[in-house]
Amino acid sequence: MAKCKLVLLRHGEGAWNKENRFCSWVDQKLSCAGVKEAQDCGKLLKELGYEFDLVFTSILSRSIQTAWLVLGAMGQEWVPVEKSWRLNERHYGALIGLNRAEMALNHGEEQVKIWRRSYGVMPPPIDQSHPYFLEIYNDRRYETCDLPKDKLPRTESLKEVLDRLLPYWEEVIAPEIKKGKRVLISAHGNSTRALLKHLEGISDEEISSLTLPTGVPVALELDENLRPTKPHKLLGDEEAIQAAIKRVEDQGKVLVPAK
Amino acid sequence: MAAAHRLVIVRHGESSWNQENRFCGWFDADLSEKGTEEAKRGAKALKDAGYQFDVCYTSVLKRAIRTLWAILEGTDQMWLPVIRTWRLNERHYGGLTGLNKAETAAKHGEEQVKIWRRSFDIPPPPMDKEHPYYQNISMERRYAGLKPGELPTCESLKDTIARALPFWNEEIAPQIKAGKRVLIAAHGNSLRGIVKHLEGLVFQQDNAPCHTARSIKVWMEDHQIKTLSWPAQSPDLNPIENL
Repeated sequence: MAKCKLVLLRHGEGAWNKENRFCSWVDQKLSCAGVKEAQDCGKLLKELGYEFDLVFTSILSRSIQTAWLVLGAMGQEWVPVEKSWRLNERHYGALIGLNRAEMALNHGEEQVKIWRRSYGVMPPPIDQSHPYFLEIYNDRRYETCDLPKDKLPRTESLKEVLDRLLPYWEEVIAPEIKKGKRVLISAHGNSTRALLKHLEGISDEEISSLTLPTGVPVALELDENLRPTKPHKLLGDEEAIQAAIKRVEDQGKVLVPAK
Repeated sequence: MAAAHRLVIVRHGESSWNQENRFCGWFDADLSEKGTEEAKRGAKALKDAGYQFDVCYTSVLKRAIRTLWAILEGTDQMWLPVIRTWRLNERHYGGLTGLNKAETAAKHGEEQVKIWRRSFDIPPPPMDKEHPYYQNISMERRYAGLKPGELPTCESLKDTIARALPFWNEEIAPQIKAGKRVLIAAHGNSLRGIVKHLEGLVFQQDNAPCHTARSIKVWMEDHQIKTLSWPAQSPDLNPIENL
């Protein structure tokens, strides 16, 4: 039974991750720490002997930058890279740009947790009064998508993310994997979670407790029907992985204000 | 504003091997620090001039790819589709790959080196299995998809153009004709071939026997010179009537 290898990667820290703000479709670049995470990830994959034939990213710069840094560290800059909005981070609607800690203070940790981690609950949609509306929807890249701009999301829950990701997985990515291509998907926290949910059959309830750390490659082995033959594996040093997981989880918590 | 410029071509900056004065060809040398700076300056120039693109082409050599990446990052267009192809690679310098240019001149004589570097159709000696870079280049995974006979062991400029132009004709030109704004980041010799083709002459001559001799036709084809087809021996026709 032929085994297909797939690696998922959530990009590293962006400037807004540091500020604890929901970044979503705002096109932030990686912070210096995020750049280093990507470079280290590339070095790790090189040491482990990974070779890729095809890379998929979203059309948000931070996932593309991550892919470039990983390919660069591996000496595989020549590997084709395909980009799609369907791998974009989850659209956080009206919550885009808001500070997670402030949200938790205003709405309570529980409500924020529901918005962040429930499967089907959408945040309020973004509208033209939102400070980042034009920055997002006036961007030329959203005129090049396979959906007309007015059909693109204005808010999403994880369910909506999977709904718009799945056709791309099935029609574009999966056929390449079935041909034997070794694929790297460089994407975002929620787009990678959504894909993992689909591949591993994780329930709507269980997915909320799954946290993918940044900058840690997630390795999957799939059979010829693209069903996992074993649980996914986080690659790298165990301590580093645990520290990365904790960093992500802490972002949702209320920060104790300094006196 | 309707774009007046639909094609931008960029030759990558200094590579680490340019610095060492070595024949680079298909060896995958990285940009030197200076080359990286050059790429960033190029990016800034394009950004300041407000250039927008719809699709990008590059080779499978990192010095060109990184130049492209610098431009995409500098102009905030990292999301653009990028197509990489071996057909835009630098000319393959065959057995000379890796040799220091001064050493080669000392070994083969300046004249021979000049001939290899600048003649149109004389290839350098081929890269054979004993060559120190054979594994590194010819056996490289990125060329695994090439058809038998496509992977060069050495190239003259003519050979480089012959494998670059089909890609231009079949992939790039249709995009430009469709109104796409194209950016190509590649190498001196693969770009020369394209530029030569773009600025090409259209040669207009009548059908006097000296013009239609086979050796002349072959020479014209070799140098990629387009000729305007002419009705049989009609010197009175105005050129424009034949368009």
